[in-house]
Amino acid sequence: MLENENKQKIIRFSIIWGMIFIAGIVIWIISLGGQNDARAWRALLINFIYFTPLSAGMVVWVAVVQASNGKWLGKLEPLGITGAAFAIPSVLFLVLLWAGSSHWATWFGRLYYKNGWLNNTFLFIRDLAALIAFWITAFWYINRRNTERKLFAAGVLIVVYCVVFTLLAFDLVMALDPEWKSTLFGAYFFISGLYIAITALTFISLFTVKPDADRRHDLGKLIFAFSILTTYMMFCQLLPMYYENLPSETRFIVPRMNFVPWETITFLLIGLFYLGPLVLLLTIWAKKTTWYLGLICFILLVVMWIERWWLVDASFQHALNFGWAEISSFAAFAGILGLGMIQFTLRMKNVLYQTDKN
Amino acid sequence: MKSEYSKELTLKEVNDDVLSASKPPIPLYYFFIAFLALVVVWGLFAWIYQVRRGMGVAGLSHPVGWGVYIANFVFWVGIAHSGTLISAILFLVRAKFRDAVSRSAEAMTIFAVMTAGLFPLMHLGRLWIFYYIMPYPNERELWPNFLSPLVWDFLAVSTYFTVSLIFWYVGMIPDLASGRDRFTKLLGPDHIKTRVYRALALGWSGAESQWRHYGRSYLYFAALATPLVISVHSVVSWDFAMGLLPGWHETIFAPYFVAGAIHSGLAMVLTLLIPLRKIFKLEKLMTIKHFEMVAKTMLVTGGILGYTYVIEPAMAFYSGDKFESQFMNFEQTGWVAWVYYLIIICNFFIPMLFIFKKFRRNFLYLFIISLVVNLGMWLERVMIVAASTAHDFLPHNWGKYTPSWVEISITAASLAFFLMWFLIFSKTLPTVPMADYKEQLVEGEGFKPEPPPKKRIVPISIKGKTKVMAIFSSHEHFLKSVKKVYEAGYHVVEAFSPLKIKEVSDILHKPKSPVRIWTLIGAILGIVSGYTLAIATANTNKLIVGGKPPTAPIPYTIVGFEMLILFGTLATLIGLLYHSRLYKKRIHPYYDPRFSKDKYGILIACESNELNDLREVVLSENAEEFNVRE
Repeated sequence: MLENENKQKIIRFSIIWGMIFIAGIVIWIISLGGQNDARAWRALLINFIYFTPLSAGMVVWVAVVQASNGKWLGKLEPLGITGAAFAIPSVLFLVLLWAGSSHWATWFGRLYYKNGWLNNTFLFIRDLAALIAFWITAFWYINRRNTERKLFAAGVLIVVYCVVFTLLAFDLVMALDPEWKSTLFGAYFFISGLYIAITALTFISLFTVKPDADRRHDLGKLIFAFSILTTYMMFCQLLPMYYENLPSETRFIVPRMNFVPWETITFLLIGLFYLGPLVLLLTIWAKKTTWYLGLICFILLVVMWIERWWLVDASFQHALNFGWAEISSFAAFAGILGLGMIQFTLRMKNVLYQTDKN
Repeated sequence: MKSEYSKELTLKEVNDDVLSASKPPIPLYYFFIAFLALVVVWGLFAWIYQVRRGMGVAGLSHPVGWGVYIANFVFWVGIAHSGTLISAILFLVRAKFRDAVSRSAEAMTIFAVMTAGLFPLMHLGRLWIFYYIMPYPNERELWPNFLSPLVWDFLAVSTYFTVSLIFWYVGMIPDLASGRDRFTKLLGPDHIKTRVYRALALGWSGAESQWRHYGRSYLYFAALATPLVISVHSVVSWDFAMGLLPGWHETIFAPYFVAGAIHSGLAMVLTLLIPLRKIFKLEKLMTIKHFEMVAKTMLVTGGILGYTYVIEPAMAFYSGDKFESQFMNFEQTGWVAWVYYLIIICNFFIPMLFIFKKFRRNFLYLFIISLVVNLGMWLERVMIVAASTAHDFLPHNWGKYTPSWVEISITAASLAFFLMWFLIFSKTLPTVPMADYKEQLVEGEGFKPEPPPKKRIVPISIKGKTKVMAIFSSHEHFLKSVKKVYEAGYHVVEAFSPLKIKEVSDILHKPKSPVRIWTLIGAILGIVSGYTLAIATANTNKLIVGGKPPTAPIPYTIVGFEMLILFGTLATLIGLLYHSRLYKKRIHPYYDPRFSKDKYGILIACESNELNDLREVVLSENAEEFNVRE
């Protein structure tokens, strides 16, 4: 009886997520073409760099906790693993971005710095290969996470995550302005990716596996810690660029900090994305109270999306253009992630709930 | 199940093992101290020579104006990092292997900062004008330039020294009390050692009313020290990254320096503690497991260094920047190339051997690899400091640098200075945090009672009541007994224990420690006054320095941040001393010296006619003694 009801629920939710996905894709295709063509493609990119670290990071978090000998994850472990459901969609979206690269990629058909690093075909081939390699490593780790070699596998996955997401950050985000460079940008990208992932993991867990007060406390602390770490990574880039005031470096900062309306967005991000948890999640009560923690996670997930938008779009437009292109592509990504996670939970029970093979 | 790191120890053994390390030393020890002192004196002579003859006696000359002195400064600040890493960060993430090594690592921090602090003075030449860097109101209205990385350095390093010292000392208070009680018994109350320990222990009695505030404060110290340790080496890195030179002006510099600092610091922990555990017979306390975890942590820091070694040339290639790529070319093929490759081998490839169990679990390998990493990290600092200045934008400005005998003497003396302090420390103070270690031992007993429902205990005044001291040697029985006595409605005046037991405060429904208010107010006050100081002093003369307006919030963040940590820590310390009454030298009147070793005590107040009932309650939990006082 109960199982039947559960099944009904799963089917219902699958249909809802699936419809969101289809509606998103359809509206996004309609928004293509015309004046806003490049913007619609960039919206796809924004969501790609939001959802890929989010889902990949959820798996990596399981490895991070395991590698640091943490044993507190419990039911959060299978939940984190379901992030792997996004493996195939993320690769397909990257292929789609490749297909449309002539519409949005700044390096398309141009030769920068007289070296072929930003050659469009080479760029997408290596990024696709890297992303596929990451997901293969992730599944390899998932299958080994209860064996004797688990610590080694976890370590490998973390290293591969850092390397692959550094490459994606340099190629898909930093290269949007090919004249600009920052050696720390890759690290900023994978650290902020883990920040997004732990926030998402916490948010989803509050609705699904319902962690107890101590786990909520731990999750809250991790969000807190990673917000500070992300802020540190931001400040380490901002300070040398601000200080030296070189045109080749400030070209990233100036559109974001010196001109309204992006300046307003920057202040919003400083207040919520970077320093928000420092104030909002300071007390034990804030970390342990379900509704409050959920609310903060929700706000953070929204500003995290804004941060990705800010990373990409501020290099291209002075005005804030937010419309159907952004909403529909977000819906497409969210829909496929939601559908994937539900189906993964349903069909991959043997992967999710492995017993200790030790 | 007992903790995997320390299987067969009792509380008493921890006490005896640690404190007997401070028996009078063997002659070889004096010989070592004398030898190190001799090297220090030689270095001091070289320094005086440099002061008298001028900076020309150092190898510093155009174009290399920053040489081994600055490299040594960076290196020693780096060594200082592992102490706080092991103590604070590992405390926050509840890593158990920390306890065996944290005290020595913290001591290392203090001595390394002391060593590091000397080098800016040496580099300054005219060291007597050092006070110019301090912000104090003077009649000429000259203030330090808070836009200068050198002022940030001063703020960061002095904050770091203060906070590390407080963290180290506060962590030691319960152990100093153990020492006090042991030496009172062995050497008599008037022996110099007893008196020093008594003064330093500040009347610590291990009472619940002290542990409650102590536990909270220690947590806050750790929470404040963690971002501080990261900020300190970031600030040191910005001494370089704020410059325009290729090889210096990199956004990755701050995390790269922090990782390198922790890497070298952990290597130094291995270098010092592997001989120490043998010499002072601490083998039972510091096991291979602890050292293996240090090695594993070095895999992470080494990995970050490796990441940077790849990113830097990759970015020089990517950007196509002429100056970046010619500098990279110089590093990889010029006369410094041998150092460049040696650094990568020493700091990345060799510590990566720790992936294999064989290398992590063998003291000899650990020791050798730690020496290699120390060397590699020192060379890296020299390389960063000197190579960029030797090879800047204009080819006719390129030059070479070789350290002079003065610089080499002073460098050698700095190592001797550091080791000498460490040797003195290891003979005089407890080298292992006993209270933390004991906590780990009882944790295995796995007894965590649910706090009973809150009770209203009537007798607020204990005057005229009969007081009973019940003494236990079992952690579990002690806790159960506290609970029973409380539930039976007696007034538990105080509970004593040799280690921090959070559960006692829960059972007795004690309010949360107010220390957190102190910390919060201190931190807010600190950040506000940091920004205010920087903005107000810059606006005194309203000069545009380096193209920056007088009110420049981005760089002043560093000033605000360092003051936040400094004030937050000082306020926490004041709160701790005030609430746990540590400013009173007198120990609790019912204190028993065994409480600092391995016994637990409960002080209960009751009416004289209740004594028999109380005795029954307490004895049912295997109390060893039941002493009626007055």
